[in-house]
Amino acid sequence: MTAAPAIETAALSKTYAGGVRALADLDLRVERGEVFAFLGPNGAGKSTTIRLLLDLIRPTAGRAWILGYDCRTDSVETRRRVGYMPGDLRLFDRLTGREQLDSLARLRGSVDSAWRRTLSERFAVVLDRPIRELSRGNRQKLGIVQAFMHRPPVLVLDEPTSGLDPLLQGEFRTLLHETVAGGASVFLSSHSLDEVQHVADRVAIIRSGRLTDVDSVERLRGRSLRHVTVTFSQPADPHAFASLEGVRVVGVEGVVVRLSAPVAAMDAVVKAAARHRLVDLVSAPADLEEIFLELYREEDDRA
Amino acid sequence: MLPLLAIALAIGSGARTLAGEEEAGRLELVLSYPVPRRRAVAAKAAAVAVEVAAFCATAYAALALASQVFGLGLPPGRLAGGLLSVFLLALLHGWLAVGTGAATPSRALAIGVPAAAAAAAYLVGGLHGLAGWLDPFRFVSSFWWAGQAPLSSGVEYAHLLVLVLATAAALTAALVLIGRRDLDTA
Ligand SMILES: Nc1ncnc2c1ncn2[C@@H]1O[C@H](COP(=O)(O)OP(=O)(O)O)[C@@H](O)[C@H]1O
Ligand SMILES: [Mg+2]
Repeated sequence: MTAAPAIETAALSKTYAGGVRALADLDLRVERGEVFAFLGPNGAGKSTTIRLLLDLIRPTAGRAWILGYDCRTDSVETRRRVGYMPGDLRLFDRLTGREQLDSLARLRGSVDSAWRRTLSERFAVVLDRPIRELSRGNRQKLGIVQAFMHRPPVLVLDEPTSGLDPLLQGEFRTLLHETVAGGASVFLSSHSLDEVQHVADRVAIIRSGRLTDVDSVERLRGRSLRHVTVTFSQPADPHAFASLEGVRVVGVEGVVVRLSAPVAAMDAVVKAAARHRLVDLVSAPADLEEIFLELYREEDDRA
Repeated sequence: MLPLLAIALAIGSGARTLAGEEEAGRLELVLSYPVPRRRAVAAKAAAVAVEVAAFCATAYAALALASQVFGLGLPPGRLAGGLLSVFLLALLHGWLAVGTGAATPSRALAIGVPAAAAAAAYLVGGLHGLAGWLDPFRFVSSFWWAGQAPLSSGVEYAHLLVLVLATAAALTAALVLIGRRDLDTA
């Protein structure tokens, strides 16, 4: 058991009753002590995967294990070792935050109450008002406390920082770093590379229920795209850019050349631009969907 | 009147506690905790039983008092027997609501299925003596097994045993069915 990874899936698949193929043949391995980001646009199958891990829904095919325990047949054992934060958190509106956490702690059996108090303080959780009066961000904080309060060895967090203000997102990142430093593992879903790039060790990319890529954050960032707009003092020849690895010329309008370039090619782009007289150069990060599109273009090129 | 009130209360409670919670999305967090689904459903069924029992106990106290005050002369034993029959009748339909919620995540069905069962049983139980062709069907009527007028004419305890078995069957079905499906998360 000691050698078992934090999370492992083998050909895990889910087709919903309506015929929606939400997940197809997912093979993943999340090691102990790492933050593993599960990145994909809306509807990619992230929540489906997570609900399969927690035995909330049942796979059409394939298997999954948490710390060596089968997520289907040993689900009480797996859930004992997991802290889960649902993507769509629903709490008991009539209870106060404290009553809700008390009730969940009883369900857990044993909770480190000093740690629970520390967590509530760090995230400035509103404990004494009925949940129905709380903002989305304040509810989300209760979700964080309940996921971490029993110091689980595995955390499964479904888009946990949505609705959280930037200050607390920083606190949350610190908490994730502490968690993995203590040997636990984090499985973190997100639709934003920016959100996970400073916490994740590795990133898996999923789209339309299929895993397209697993890579270290550094490598992915190197491949992540920039929109570059170069303004020359005179109409310029864009061919110098087109020949650079990974760079595409998106448009030329007189003295303005617009490019998309992977971060890894930025040095070459700037050097090529600098051979002419420059008026301006603007570089902006592309969003995730565009990065995906670029990845698929690469796959198509290889195919 | 009393049985119908008790049944309505039980169905409402049984539908709210499982299907209602699932529709509200609150079951997802609870079932992500290390609690077997069966135990969660058993706890909900127990809560329904407690609610129905409290109702019947209150009705017993009120009727016993009324019998004293107005000199109705209801023997306490017969009153207790009558309310036991009401309790079982209501619990059967409350647990049918839990069982329906275990089979499918719809609160409307969790109310509709046991309510339809109760209505059919009520009609058959009341009419089988008048419409001869209905007579063979009296054995599927929970109202017939509960006794037509338990307070005035007493109950057949052997007949109540049939209600006990049916109620146990409803709970068993609930415990089996909850394990077999996806939680509704849409
Ligand atoms: N309970 C459900 N029944 C039918 N289809 C579903 C259900 N839940 C999700 N889906 C569909 O499965 C796909 C993946 O959804 P989901 O896993 O929620 O994606 P993500 O969390 O990445 O946004 C989507 O097309 C979604 O519409
Ligand atoms: Mg989701």
